[in-house]
Amino acid sequence: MKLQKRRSDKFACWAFLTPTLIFLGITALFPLLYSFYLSFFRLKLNLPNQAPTFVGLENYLKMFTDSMLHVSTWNTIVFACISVALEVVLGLMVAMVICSDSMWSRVATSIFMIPMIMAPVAIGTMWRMMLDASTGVINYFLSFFGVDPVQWLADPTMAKISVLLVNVWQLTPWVTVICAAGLKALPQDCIQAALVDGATPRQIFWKIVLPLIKPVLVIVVMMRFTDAFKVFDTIYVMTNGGPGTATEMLPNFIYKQGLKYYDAGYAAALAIVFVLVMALITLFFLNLRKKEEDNVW
Amino acid sequence: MKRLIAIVLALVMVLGMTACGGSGSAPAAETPKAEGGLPYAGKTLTVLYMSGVYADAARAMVPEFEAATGAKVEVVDYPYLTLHEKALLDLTSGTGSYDVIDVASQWDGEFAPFLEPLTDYIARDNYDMSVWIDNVLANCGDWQGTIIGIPNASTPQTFAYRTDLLPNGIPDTWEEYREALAKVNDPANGLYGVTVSELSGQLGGVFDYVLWSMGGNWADEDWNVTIDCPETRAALEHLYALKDVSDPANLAWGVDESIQAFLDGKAAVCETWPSLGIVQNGDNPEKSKIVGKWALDVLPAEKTGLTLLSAWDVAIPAGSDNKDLAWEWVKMYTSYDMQNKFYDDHGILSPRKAFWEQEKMASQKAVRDALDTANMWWRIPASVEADSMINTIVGAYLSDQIDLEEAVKQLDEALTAALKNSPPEAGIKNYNH
Repeated sequence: MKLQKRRSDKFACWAFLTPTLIFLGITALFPLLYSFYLSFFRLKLNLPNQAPTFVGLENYLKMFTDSMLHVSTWNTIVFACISVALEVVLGLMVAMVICSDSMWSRVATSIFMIPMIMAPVAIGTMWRMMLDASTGVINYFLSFFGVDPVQWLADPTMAKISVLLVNVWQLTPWVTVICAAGLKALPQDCIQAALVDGATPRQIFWKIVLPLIKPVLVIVVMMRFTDAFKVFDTIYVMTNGGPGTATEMLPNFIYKQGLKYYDAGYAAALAIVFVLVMALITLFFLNLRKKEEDNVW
Repeated sequence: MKRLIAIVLALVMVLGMTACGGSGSAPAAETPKAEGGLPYAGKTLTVLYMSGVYADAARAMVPEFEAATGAKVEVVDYPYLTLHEKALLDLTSGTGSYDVIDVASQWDGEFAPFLEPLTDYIARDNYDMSVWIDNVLANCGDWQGTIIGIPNASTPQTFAYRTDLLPNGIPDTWEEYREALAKVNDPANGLYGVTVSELSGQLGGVFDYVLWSMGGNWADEDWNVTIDCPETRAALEHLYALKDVSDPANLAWGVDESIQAFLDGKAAVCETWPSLGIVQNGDNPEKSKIVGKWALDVLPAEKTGLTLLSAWDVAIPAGSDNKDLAWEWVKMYTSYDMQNKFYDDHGILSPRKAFWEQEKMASQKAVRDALDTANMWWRIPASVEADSMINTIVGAYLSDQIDLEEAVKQLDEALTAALKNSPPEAGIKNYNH
């Protein structure tokens, strides 16, 4: 009887999973495998009557000599590391402040959510106007403090900082919401016990709150890190990768190869390497999270 | 096995997370609708234009076209930066989403294999091709002797300037030009010598017209790259020198910001396409502080007098199911009356010879003359990659990320790579140089 029930459960399990697996197979796995296949061919989609020509590892080897790829990769790594670090630190700090159930906390959370729910293109357009060195509102306010006009988008270094800060502004609220949820779920008895024992707020944060919330933070960092590597819309609207190569990021570079230059083989190879690196990063963070959970519990 | 499945699922998850966003809205499918007596009743025509005045003009024509044909028209538009990919994806896949595409002439050679040759339609209707300015037609719509599109808008790169500050107009050489700008440059009082669209995507064209006027070229007629030359260095140095007489924010400015600065009276010269805002608003007191104080002039002639041509031709994709109806649209959109109306309502300059012979165009003789010599960059599949890389490299030089020699070296490598990646078809010469 038990065996029959177990078989029946197993059947139900697969019955529910099958549609999703088929859907994922068609929409994700097949394109991935086809991209992998295509990455060994030369195929320019904008040339008439083009047939894929097998070129072996040529598309992969090209990556080692493509200086624009190196620039955009470095830009993306710097962008991802700094933006995620700032977002996690700021997000956690804000979450500590608003993690109560009070009315003001709920209002503050709602206000914090606004940048997160705005369309990236709208955000890019809005910030592009606000950061204009001559007519933008940011420099206008800074002028009250005697600050000379800052070339937010025309100077390479400032352009990097600008797109980074806009990303932090846009996505810190997401980190805040997740961290606030994690903080609310912490066992209160530990904190109360520490208070009774005379622990200071700083000790409570470093010795109790942070270790307990680490698994949540690891997931937050993982999701934000993979997301930061995909940054596209906002930067495309704000700077289009400029000035020069200052804000050229990997997704924009791959987009150009695939959809501007129509170099399907090279774009496929780039996408495969990109996906593999992202997969490795994801697996690393998933392992880290498991370790952290094991340590906590 | 479990580990393998886990890795595959992780890859699938990451692919989902890294997938690009959704594409633009696809045109609606045809919805047959009976309307008695009209030749194309029940048909739906989908036309693709660049956002802005060209799409506005198309929308303005829709009621008249629908009344004349009985067909329904849907106008789809995308900004210039994404129009190329939207159009080419449709053309190469043969999906036929669009029945008419307004093609920028630099894409003619790339799009030509996927467009319907208009030769038969022209012969059938005795459509007069002699009405078009010869140089415009040669650079726009005519690809290797075959008409693949009908020209409908053509603007030579001209400069808008302040008549009160530069009463003698634009000088004949770039050196004199810089000197004239330096004399009027007065940042302390909010006036710069010049405003230029130097945002990536616009900057390449700026570099091109300076280079061409100085006698430099991307390549010779046999596609040997010739960019590593004194003229390229001089053109780059000229653009760098303009930083002294322009708002430092120029490197981040597109067409809109440049034109706005000029209309706000913050620059003596505007180096951008006047037809994208200055012609329409320059004398509108609600939108301009320079009413009655501006005019258009040709660029410094320097050695060759060549300038950049922006030209568009309406074409019919080979995959369209409504080619006859599309041809009717093309004819109406490019008709003399409609082109005149588009100028009056939207400031679009027509490539028709007769358009320029009207009294109202007499003051723009310099612009008309420039249409006889204006040039377009490569019109082959490599042009998009070449132009994109020129934008990036010139931008890097102007923002001090690379020095002059490195910029020239990178330009040479980029153009060579673009030609290697998308070689021109055998027998096609580079006459756009």
